[in-house]
Amino acid sequence: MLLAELYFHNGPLLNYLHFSPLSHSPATVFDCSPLPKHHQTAVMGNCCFGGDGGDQSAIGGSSFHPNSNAPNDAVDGFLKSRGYHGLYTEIELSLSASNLRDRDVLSKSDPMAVIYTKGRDGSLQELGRTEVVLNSLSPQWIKKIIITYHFEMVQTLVFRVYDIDTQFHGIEEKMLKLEEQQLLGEGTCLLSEIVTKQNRTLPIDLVRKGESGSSTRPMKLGQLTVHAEECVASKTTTELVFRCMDLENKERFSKSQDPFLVISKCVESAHVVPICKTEVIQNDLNPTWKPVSISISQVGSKETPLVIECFDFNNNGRHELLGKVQKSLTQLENLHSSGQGENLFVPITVGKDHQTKVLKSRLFVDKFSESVHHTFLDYLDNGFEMNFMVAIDFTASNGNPRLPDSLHYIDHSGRPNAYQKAILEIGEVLQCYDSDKKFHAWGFGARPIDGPVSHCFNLNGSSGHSEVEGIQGIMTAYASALFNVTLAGPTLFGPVIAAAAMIASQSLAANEKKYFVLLIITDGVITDLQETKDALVNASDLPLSILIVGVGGADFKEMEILDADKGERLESTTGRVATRDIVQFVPFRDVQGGEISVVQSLLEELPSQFLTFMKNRDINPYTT
Amino acid sequence: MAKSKNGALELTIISAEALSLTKTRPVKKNAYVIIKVGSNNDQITTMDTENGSYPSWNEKFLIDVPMHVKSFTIEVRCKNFFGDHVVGSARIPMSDFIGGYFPCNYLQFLSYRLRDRYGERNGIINLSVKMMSASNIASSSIPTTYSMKTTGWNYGASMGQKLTHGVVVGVPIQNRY
Repeated sequence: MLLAELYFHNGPLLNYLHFSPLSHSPATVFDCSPLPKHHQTAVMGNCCFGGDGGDQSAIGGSSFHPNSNAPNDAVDGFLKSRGYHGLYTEIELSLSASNLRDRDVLSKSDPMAVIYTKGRDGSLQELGRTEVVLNSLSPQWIKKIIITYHFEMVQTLVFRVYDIDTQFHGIEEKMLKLEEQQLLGEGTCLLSEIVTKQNRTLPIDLVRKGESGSSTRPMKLGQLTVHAEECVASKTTTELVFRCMDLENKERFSKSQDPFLVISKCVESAHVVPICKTEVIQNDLNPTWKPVSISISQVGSKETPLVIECFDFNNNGRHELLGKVQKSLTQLENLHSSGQGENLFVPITVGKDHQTKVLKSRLFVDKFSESVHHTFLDYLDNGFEMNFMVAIDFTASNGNPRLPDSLHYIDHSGRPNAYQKAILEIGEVLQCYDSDKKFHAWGFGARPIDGPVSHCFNLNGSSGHSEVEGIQGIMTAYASALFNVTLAGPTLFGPVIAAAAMIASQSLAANEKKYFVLLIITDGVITDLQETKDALVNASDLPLSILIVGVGGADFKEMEILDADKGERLESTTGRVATRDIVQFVPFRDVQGGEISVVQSLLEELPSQFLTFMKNRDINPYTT
Repeated sequence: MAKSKNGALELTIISAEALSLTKTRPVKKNAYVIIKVGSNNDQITTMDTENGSYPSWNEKFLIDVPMHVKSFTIEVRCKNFFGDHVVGSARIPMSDFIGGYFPCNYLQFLSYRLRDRYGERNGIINLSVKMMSASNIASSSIPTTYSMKTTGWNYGASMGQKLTHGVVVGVPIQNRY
């Protein structure tokens, strides 16, 4: 089927396609096109006209579920097909500064800003430069810098403001040698700090090179203001239903006519780029296709001419053109309101002339509706938060924490153990999305002092509250808990999931704009599989996602059942089925080589799980 | 809680997935749903003619729930040339949406496994439920009856409290806004 084909044809697609979490219905599988734009064109080409010719399903922007409330994975695919990519958002940064230092003797400074991204190894990579503003200590730069936002990564930005000497004026900014210029100050921040600020504007104090953030009393060198804007031309999506009448029967050998539509946009140089196609309807000369959705940002504008081609599906991949029309979305809207049909035409070549022949087949637009969708950043911008919670496995299978071969062994040289590593890597990304940075932290599978085995105890040792301050707070609580509890067993997840679900439901009842992420780190296979499933199914309609990280060398095959990406939709003992996929599982041993991609893949799906939840419940970012 | 009195239930039958008549034959069209609550009259959706084995109804029903009723039944049926068949049914316990995590008057999306008359799995039904009970409106804000088991590891030591094991501690509600 289609998915399989895509796997073989485009290796890199694997990454994007493994989404569609619970798809069992063919509709939902084909529904999702979670591909960033640059991949989309490639795929389209492959699907529509590849030599395989074996797929008859719709792709790209078409929705099969007439109701957008369907509480299942269809929504997920649906969201993606409509451009809700929580990840890979292009962001435009605009900069201004105030109170810069005056370094010129006779006039004021002539500042220019340079933006870098800082790699994990501390290396800087230049992202772009603004123009030079003459004679100003409070410049407002016009040139915008574009950066791609990744939810799953910590993206550190470094800003440097230079005073450009008069002798270099007139030289193109790109050509300027920065070492010949005077540095006015340096500032640093995380990209996520900017996008989580309401109105997305972050002031940064400029300091001397190299001392940003670290020094006790850095010298003030003015302030830089960074403003971020999502590069989306329009958040409007249109849904269309197409119908054709009187298609011509071109099959000579009494075979049936199986029409489908391909919608492409005309770009410069008369080139066309396919955007989506409908499903193939078997043997029908008057077909009505399922709804197709096209986002304005996909096509550019409502005035962009679209080519709608009707093909007869052919198993050998050489689909025959039955006719086409060229219309912009505005024209299609008019066609819809008038109820008229548009005649299809076919291009014919007479000698050297290209002519068109108008057919009596007609195309109708039975439905034309517009809707506005919201992005993950829209929600963040309006005060929505992601709250991080963590639960740590204290079962005896980890080994005695005082011995170096234990998974819980704390190395005093500062090298983090597997648990610490997982907390740090996931925590450092998620903490930016939590304004008060108070995290719930639990342990399970151990015996507190003089107590029986507890499957959910507060990591901070308190009997009342489970919250700790910051990632460092988790680390401290974890280290002290290790020396105050006796590792025991068995491994049960039910109680910690229930504790997290309870907090999520209380937040929901209090009408807070919060989404919760529970990280469970474990070294072994759970013993309460059905109980865990029940807890997960019960929590599946809450603002909660669960990340499970497996550490150590155990066989985690059974855990994969919990991750609906890899298995079936979870089912509880009462027969209730999970409303949506809220679990991601990943074994951490793969990452221990220093690679970080596995942790990233764990986090990547969070924005879409967040959006699915919001979309399901019709939660609008702008309402309070 | 709401169980003590009659309540009204706003039930939306949204859609179903992967329905089949026999192992190899999927439902082609005309699937519909019967809602059976106690001895009340059954309520019926319209037939879905377009979406085959992935039917979609999106129909809302208001259902009176007598206090003694602990569950209700959803039956998916399908009409074709040969007659009217039961595709699958699901028994939905009231406890799934009363007294669970959710506050009253809260819209919940639920999915259930459908099983045919031999008890074999046959698709999934998606629905949404909103409990509207008169008795609970006054206290609908925050469910206070919940408590959960969390214990600190050094509860013996903390603030000199003498607590026995297996203590049940209510978690404070974080209300920062």
